[in-house]
Amino acid sequence: MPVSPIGRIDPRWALPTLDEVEAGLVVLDALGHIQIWNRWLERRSGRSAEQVIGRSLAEAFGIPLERRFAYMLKQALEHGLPVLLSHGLHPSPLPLFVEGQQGERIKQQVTLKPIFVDARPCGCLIQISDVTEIVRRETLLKTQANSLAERLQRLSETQAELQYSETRFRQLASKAPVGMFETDATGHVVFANERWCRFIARPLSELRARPFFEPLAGEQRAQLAAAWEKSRVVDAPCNIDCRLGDPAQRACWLRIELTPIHAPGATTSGYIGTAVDLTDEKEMTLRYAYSATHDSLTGLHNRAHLETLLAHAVTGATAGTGPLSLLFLDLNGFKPINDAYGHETGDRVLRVVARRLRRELREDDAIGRFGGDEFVVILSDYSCRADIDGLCARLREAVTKPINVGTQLVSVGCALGRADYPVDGADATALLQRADANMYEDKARAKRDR
Amino acid sequence: MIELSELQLDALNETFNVSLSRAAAAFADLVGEEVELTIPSVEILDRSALATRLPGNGERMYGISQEFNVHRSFHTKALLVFPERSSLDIVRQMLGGSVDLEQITEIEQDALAEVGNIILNACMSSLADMFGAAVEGTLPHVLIGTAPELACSDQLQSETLVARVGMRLANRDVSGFMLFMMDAASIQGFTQQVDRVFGI
Repeated sequence: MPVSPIGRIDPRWALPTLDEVEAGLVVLDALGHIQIWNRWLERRSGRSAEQVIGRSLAEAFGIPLERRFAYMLKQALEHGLPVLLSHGLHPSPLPLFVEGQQGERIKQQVTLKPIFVDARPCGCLIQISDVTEIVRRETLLKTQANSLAERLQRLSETQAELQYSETRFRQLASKAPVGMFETDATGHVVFANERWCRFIARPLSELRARPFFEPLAGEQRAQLAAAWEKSRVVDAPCNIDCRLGDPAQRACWLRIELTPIHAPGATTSGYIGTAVDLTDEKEMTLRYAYSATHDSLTGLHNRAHLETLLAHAVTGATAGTGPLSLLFLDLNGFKPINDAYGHETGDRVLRVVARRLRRELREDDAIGRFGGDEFVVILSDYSCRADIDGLCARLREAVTKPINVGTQLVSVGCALGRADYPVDGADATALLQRADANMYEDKARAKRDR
Repeated sequence: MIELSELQLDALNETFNVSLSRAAAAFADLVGEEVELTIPSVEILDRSALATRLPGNGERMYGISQEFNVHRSFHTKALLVFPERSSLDIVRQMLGGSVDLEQITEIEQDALAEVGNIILNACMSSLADMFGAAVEGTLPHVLIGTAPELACSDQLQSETLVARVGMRLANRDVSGFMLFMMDAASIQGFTQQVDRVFGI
């Protein structure tokens, strides 16, 4: 075996002796009798060198050696084989203790190194290390690693559950028949389902991390922003009916409800928004409302609504908001057309007349179908009599133009009566009666002039 | 490059077969359950061939190393190598470890060293008995690295006697290999002993 070189050693050096080595050292002769027993062993075995020199290990300790230790010792002494007795497999093979204490043996690692003379084993060096502290540290490490592994496992399971839960939510939300979106505490979108994106006409990529109402414009945006602010301030759900889309196009009506989400600790962590499409319902409501106030044939106000409008106009005029005039129109020669060509032609004539009359009027002027072939016009804010005279002339002209009823042209005449507030009446009924009367006078005059 | 005849290779296989039987018995006695060791395949490889024949996928390996000297015959550095996973399996099986630590601890490493010590000692003592010679050895040390790093770390040896051995422990397949690194003179001395014993 190669031998490590030794340098020059000064004889004055106080080299450490075997008694200063911090490990147990035993030298056995070929018969297994102790020849060296250092101080470390004396302190931990409770036996002095004088007590054990010349004895076997079993005699020195007063107990038989462990079977494995005895076998390994034999291997070393008889066959010259070096042996390691690891702590893991032989925790404490020898009865050694913390100095001055009895009870639990110190944890040991033992090596047996044969000693050779002329290539023949003639003894053995046994080295014993105290690995108690190493074992303690490793046990602690394993305990902590165990604990950490369990916590990681629980965390992993929780994360998996959360992931599953979130995936399920996303799938449900994506298939939901309502629009859904989620925001953080500041109202910025963190999630939106497909339906909401369709309502807003924006992809999710453009919505994320921006205020949920930002993609909208004008009044719509202001409405939603106000609703969110309200929900935020009162920390309670709120809802709003909102019309989306271009006013020139078919409206999309949504009922949007905002609900705050509370994190543990009761602070608001975000908002959930749901949007239900009310378009059909709204349109139906509007249609009903329209039907209640409008004549289905001509699209003009119906009599009941017109009387309501007139009452309001009189109230306004009484309050001094401006002048008020009423026109009463009756079609001359309508009945013969109806009788000759049928109700369908008669209806067509009425629709054409209504359209022509509406075209001649201002946006603010109200016109309604008062009776079969009677029309009433409410004029507000006409400060000049001449303007009304001019309007009346245009209305007559518009009515009396020929009307194409499909197979031929027909024409009707127009008797027109006027009443001015307050001269001709101070209330709606009086004005109507006056205008009606004036209309009949106009009709009679027309007959006389023919 | 040393060339061995077929007869010599057969004799080497038989030699290791006998010696590893003793190692298996010693190991089984230690772990308290049956251990199967497969018959090794023995060959002599130079350094470049050794590097290519060993597991080269970069897997971490644990090697238990001891040097032995058979007086006036041969000197060898014996290395018993297991993949890290197998090493973990061996020590955890023997020590009953429950923590799935990825690294072997210091105490577990010592236990692995003892396992290697038992196998290598049994192998070498069998060889020594067969050759009728005394063997002197060092205590085991644990080395960690890839197979080429472990096997080719000794710069002095140009040729290596390689014996691959498989172990089956508690229904788990644990494969490893044993290397006997010798210089040319030692390989010659070793084969001379084999020739003498088997009458070649």
